[in-house]
Amino acid sequence: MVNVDTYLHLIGAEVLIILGIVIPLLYDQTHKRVLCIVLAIVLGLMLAHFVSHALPKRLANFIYSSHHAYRALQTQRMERT
Amino acid sequence: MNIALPTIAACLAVSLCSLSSAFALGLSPDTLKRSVPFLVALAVGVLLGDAFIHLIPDAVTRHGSVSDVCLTVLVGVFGFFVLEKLVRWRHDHKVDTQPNSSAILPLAKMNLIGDAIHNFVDGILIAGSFLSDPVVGLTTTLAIIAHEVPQELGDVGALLRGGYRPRQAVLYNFYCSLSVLPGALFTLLLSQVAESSLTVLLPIAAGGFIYIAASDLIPVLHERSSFHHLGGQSAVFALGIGFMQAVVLFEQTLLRP
Repeated sequence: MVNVDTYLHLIGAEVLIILGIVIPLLYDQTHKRVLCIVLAIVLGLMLAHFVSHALPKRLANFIYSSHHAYRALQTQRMERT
Repeated sequence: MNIALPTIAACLAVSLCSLSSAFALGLSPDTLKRSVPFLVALAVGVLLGDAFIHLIPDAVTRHGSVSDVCLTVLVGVFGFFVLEKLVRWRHDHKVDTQPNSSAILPLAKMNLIGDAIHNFVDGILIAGSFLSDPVVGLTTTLAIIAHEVPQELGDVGALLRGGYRPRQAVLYNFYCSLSVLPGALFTLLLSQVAESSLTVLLPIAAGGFIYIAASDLIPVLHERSSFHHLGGQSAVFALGIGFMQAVVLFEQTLLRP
């Protein structure tokens, strides 16, 4: 089963693509501005999540993946979930 | 595991597919003008194929009674007829059938209403299948996406014929496709009511499609009577029906245990 983070990333990516296509099609400048703000918020949230969660996790995996203690910790977490 | 997130992701994927028609904006106005009759023919084939090959058999499987489903299809046809009369009456008492004025033809508005109902039903189907099993939800989403792409393309052709500008046609078509989300949320909140409402909503959507294709779009195809249009439009019409049949076969392969 895919975890919640993956679904949130998928939803975020879909919203970004939709907004990226829809914004250039709009005629009304006010609507355009509002959707640009929404796009910036979604992009900001996704980047913040990447910097605060995904990136440190990847770095830790890269640095400590050869350490037995780290691998054991990961396995314990997997079994708990 | 919360089932709402995969359902929302699937619904957004379906809405995203409706924007696939945005590629038409890259075509030159002349090319677009030449391709509109063929897009309308595609819309006719896909709408009739969807109604007769997909929606009505699905409603019969759920309901069990063929005569009740046929009666509800007729109610759908009648409802759309009354709706179009209301649109015409409200808009203009002397609506011209040629798009030579800036007015939007009723066929475009009817198409938007029919598409919105259809997408609402799609939302119910997606959420219902995710509630039963995530794998069935995924296969249902794939099947809906497969029939959505040619249908949205045909719908944009019908909207262009109805007097909308290309950008407006793509945008309004996208706004209608967003009705998939309320359909899914309605099912997630009231799953039993939504499930039973499908026996009515599926044939009504089918009736709407039959009405739009037969009364609004087929007369548009008859406006051009050259041999080139006879061959081209017939081929694209058949392609639309063939595509819907292929989607049904694809669905059966996916959902086979």
